[in-house]
Amino acid sequence: MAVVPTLPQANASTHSAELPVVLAVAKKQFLIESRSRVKFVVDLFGHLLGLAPMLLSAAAIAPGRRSAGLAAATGSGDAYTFIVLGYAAFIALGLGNNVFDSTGLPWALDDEQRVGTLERNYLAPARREVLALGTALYFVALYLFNIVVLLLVCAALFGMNLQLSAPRLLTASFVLLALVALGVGLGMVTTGLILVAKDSSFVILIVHRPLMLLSGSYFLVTAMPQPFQSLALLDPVTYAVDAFRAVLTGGATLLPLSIELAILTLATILALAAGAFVHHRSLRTLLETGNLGLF
Amino acid sequence: MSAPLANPVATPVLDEGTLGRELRTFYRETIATAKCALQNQARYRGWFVSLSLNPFFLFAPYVFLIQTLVGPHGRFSQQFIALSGYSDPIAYTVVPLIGLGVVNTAFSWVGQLIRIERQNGTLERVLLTARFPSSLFLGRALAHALFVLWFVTIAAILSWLFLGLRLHANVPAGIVLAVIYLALVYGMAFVFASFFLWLEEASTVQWVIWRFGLYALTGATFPIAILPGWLQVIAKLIPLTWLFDLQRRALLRAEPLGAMLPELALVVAMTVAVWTMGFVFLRWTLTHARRTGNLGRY
Repeated sequence: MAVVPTLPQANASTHSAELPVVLAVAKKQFLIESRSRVKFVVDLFGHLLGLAPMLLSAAAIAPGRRSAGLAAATGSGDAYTFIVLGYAAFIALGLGNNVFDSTGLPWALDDEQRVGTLERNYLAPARREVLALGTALYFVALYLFNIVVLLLVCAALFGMNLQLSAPRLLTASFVLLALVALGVGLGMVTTGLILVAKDSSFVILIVHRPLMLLSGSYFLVTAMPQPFQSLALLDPVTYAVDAFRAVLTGGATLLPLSIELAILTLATILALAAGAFVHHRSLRTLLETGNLGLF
Repeated sequence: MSAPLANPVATPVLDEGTLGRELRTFYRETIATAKCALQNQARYRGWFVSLSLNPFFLFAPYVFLIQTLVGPHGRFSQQFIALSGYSDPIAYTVVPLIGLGVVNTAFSWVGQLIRIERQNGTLERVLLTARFPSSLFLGRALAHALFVLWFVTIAAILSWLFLGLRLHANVPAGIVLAVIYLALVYGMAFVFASFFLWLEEASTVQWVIWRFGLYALTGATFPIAILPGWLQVIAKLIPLTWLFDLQRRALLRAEPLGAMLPELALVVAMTVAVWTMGFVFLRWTLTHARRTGNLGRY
C-alpha cells in the first residue's frame, strides 16, 4: 500500500517546532484522562491505597517496623522506608500504581485503537514518535506527581529514615529520571507489541508482570527463591531500585553504586532505542497492512 | 454476544406456564451464555497463558515481601506467629492470595457483564433475548468455574515449586470450603454487576475494591488483629475475612468441618444473603434502567 510514504513525517520539522506538538498531545491526554473522574482520582492517589496491604504485612512481622531480616541484609532495618522507597522507584517506571496498574502510554494508545481514533491521530502533521512522546509526557508528569505525593504523605504519616544530602538527592533524582526514561522506552516497546497483537493482557504478562516480579520493588532480591533470584540479577530495574534505596538510606547495594548507575544508564539508552525502533516498525507494518484502525 | 444468546430464547415463552418448562428455558439460557463467554474469550490468543501465570505474578511479590521480612528460614517470624497463631507465614499468605486471584477474575467475568454489554451497545438486545436475566450471570459464572480449577491448580503448583507452599490439609473440609468460596465470590460478583450498571467507571471501582478493600481489610497477608478496633469491625463484615480464616484452618491445620461449625454457618448465611441481594438488586436495577431509558445509554 502507498499509505506509508504519504503520512506526514518530520521533513519540515525541527526539534523546537516539535515541542508544541508534544505539549499539545500531552494536554489532549490530560483532557481525556480527567474526563473519567473516578479513574483520574485513582490515578492521582490510588497508589497510596495500594501501599496499605504491604505496610500492614510489615507491621505484622516487623516489631516497631524494624525488620531484623532486612537489617541483616542491607544494614538498614526500617521496613516502612524500605517498602516506600522501592515503591516510589517502581512508580517512576510507570508500573507502580498497585490499585490500577493499566494506566500508561501502551493502554492509552490501545484505547485509541479500540475506539477508532488512533489512525486519525497519526495523520496529524507530525512525526508519529513525537505524538507518542506527547502521550508519554502526560504519564511522566503523573508518575512524578505520584512519587512526590507518596513521599510527602509517608513522611508526614509515619516518618522516613532517610540520609539526605545534596549529592544523595542529586543521585536519587538521576535514578528516578533514568527510570522514567526507561519506562518511556519500555512503554514504546509495549505499545508497538499491543498495537500489533491487539491483546493487552498477553503483553502485560510478558512485560509488566515480570518487571514487577523481578525488580525487588518492595522486597529483597536476595530473599527470592531460584530461578527468580538469578533472573532478577539480569533485570536492570533491580539495580535502579536498589541504588535509589541505598542512596537515600545509606544501606548496602547489590553491586558498587557506580556500576549500578552505569547499568541503569545503558539500559535506559537501549530501552529508548528499542522503543523507537519497535514503535516505528509496528506502525509501519500496521499501516502497510491496513490494520492500524482495525480492532 | 447477541447471536449465541439469541438462539435458546428465540421462541416466545408466553404460553410456557409449567415450572419444568421454565427451568428448561433457564437452563438453556445459562448454557448458551456460558458457551458464548468461552467463545468470546477464545478470540484473545494470549488469554490462556495469561490466565495461567498472571495470578502467580500478582501475588508472588507479596510473598517475597514476607520472606524478606521474616529472614532466611523464617528466623524473625516470632511476632507474626504470636499474632496469627500459624507457624508458616508463607502458607498463611499464599492460601488467601490464590483466593483473591479468583475474586478478581470472577469480578471481571461476571461482575462487569452488564457494563461491558452496555459499553458495546448490546445490553438491550441481550436482555430482550433472555427470558431470565439472571441466567446471563449464572452462565458467565459457569464458564468461569470451568477454568477456575485450572487457574487454582497452576497457582498452587507454582507456589509449591517456587514459594515452598506446604499444606497440612483436611481434604473434605477443603473441598466444602472451596465450593462455598466459589458460591460466595459469584454471589458478590452478581451483586456488583447490578451495582456497576449505575457506574460509568466500574472497572476502576472494581480494582479499588479488590486491590485495596479486599487486600487490606480481609487480612489476606496479615492477621486482622493488627488493625484498629473499628477497622476490625469492618473487616469482620466482609465474608471473605471469615472464609480465609476457615480455609487456613482447614488447609494448614487440618481442622475438620465439625470443629468450625459456628463460623461455617455464619459464612453460609452470608453467602445466601449475598445471592438474595444479587437477585433483588438486579430486578430493581433493570426495572429502573428500563423506566428511565438508561439501559442502552453509555
